[in-house]
Amino acid sequence: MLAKPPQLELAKLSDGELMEAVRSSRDQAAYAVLRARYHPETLAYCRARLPDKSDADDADQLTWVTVWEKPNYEPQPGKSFRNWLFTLAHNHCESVRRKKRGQSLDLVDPPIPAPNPWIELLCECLPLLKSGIASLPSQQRCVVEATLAGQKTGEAAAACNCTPAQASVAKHRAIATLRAWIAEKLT
Amino acid sequence: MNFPALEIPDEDRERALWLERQLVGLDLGDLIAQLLVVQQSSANVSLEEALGPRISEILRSGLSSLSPDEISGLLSCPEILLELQSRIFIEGGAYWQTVSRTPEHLAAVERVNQAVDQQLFGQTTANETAPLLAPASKTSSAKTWTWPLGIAAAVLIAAGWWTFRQAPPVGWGFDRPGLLAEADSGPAYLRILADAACEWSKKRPATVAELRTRLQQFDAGCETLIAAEHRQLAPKDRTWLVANCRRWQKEIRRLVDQLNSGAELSNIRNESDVLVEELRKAILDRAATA
Repeated sequence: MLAKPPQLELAKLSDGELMEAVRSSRDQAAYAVLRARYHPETLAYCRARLPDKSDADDADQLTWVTVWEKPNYEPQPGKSFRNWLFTLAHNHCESVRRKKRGQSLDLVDPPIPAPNPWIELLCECLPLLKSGIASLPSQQRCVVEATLAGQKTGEAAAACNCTPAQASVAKHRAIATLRAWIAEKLT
Repeated sequence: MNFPALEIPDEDRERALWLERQLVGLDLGDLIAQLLVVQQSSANVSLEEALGPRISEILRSGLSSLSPDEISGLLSCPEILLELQSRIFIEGGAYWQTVSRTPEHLAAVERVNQAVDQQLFGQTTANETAPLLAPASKTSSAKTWTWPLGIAAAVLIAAGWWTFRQAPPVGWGFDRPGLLAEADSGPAYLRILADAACEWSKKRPATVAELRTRLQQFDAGCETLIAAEHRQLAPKDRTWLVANCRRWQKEIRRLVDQLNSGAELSNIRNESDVLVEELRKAILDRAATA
C-alpha cells in the first residue's frame, strides 16, 4: 500500500497549525486549506459591512493577501485564528470605509469601532430605497411597507385590502420593479 | 441589489432557517438596510440585551431553538444582526459551517480567490483539478503554485471536504428522506422543495467524477419528484412541477453528456449552478402564486 502523501493530512490540522506552516514554511497548500475553510465567511463579513460590492470584494482580497504576506498570528489564550482573521477583515473594511470619507487609518493596530458606523454606511442607500418604494403603485407599496414592518403575507393582505395571493403577486412585482428602478438610478 | 427583506418566509419554521442563511450569506447588508426603511433604529439595543443567555446556544446550534417571537424580535432590531454575524463567524460552532451557501456566494468567492492568486503569484488559479492532471513538464515557478492548490483541493475532497463541514447525508435535495411529507399546504411544500434544491451548493464538486455523481444524484431527485403524488399541490401546480422536473432533468442529462464529452469542469459546474438557481427561483415564484 502506498504511503499517504503528507498533504492529505492537511485538512486535519488545526487553524493554528496551518498558520504556523504558512508562517514558517511558506506552505501554499496550508494557505489554500485555510482559504477553503474561511473564505466564504470573510467575503460575507465584508459584503455585510460595505454596501458597494466591489469595495467589499477588495477588502476581502486584501484580507487574504495579508494572511499570506504578514502571517503574524500566534496562538494565544482567548485569541483564536478566527478572531485574528476577522479582525484583519474588519480592519480592511474599516480602511475602505474611512478612505471613502477621506480619513486615514493606521492598519497596524486600529481600534475596532462600534457597529454604528457600519449601519450608518448601510443606511446611505435608504433615501434611494425609500424613493423607489414611493414610486411603486399603491397596492405594491402598501404590501412592501407592511412586509418590511414584519407582517406576514396574510397580515399584509388584510392591511392592503387584497387577498394573500394578490399580496404575493404584488410583492414579487414590486421586487422586479424596485430592482430595475434602482439599477437605472445607479447607472 | 437583492431584496431579502421582501422574501422572508411566512412559515415560522422556515424563518429560522432562512435567517441563518442570511447571516452567513452575501445579502445581510441589504437585509439590514431594507428593514431599516420602515423600522425605527434600535441602535441602543445590544445583542446581549436582545438575546441574553440564548447567544451561546445560537452559536452552538443555530436559530432553531428560538421561538417565532424571538425570530421576529431579531428582525425588528436589524442592527444587531451585524453583531450576531460577527459572533457566529468568530465563535460559532460546526453547525454554522453546514448552513448552505448560494451558488452566487461560491462564485463570488472563486472570483476573489482568483484575484488573490493574481496579486500574490501573478496568475489566476486554474480549475481545481487541473494541477493534479497537469504534465510534469511545467517549469514556470509561478505555475508550480497551482500544484499545492490542486493537492489542497484534492485533500479537501479526500477528507470529506472538511472535518467540520457536514456533507449532505445520503439522499439529499429532492431525495431527502421525509421531504415530501414535510408540508401541508401547496406554497409551503413548494418552498420546502426550493430549500431542498439549495442543498446542491452544500458540496462543491472539485473533480469531473464528483460533479458527474452530483448531477446524477440531482437527476435522481428530479425522478423522485416526477413520480411523486404531490398531494399538497393543486392539480395545475402538480402538472407544472412535473413538467418542469422533466425539463430540468433533460438539462441535467445534457450537462452530464457534455461532461462525458470532455467539457471543462468549471464551465459545466457554473452551468449547473445557474440551472439549480433558476429552478429554485422558479419553484419559489410558483409558491408565491400557488
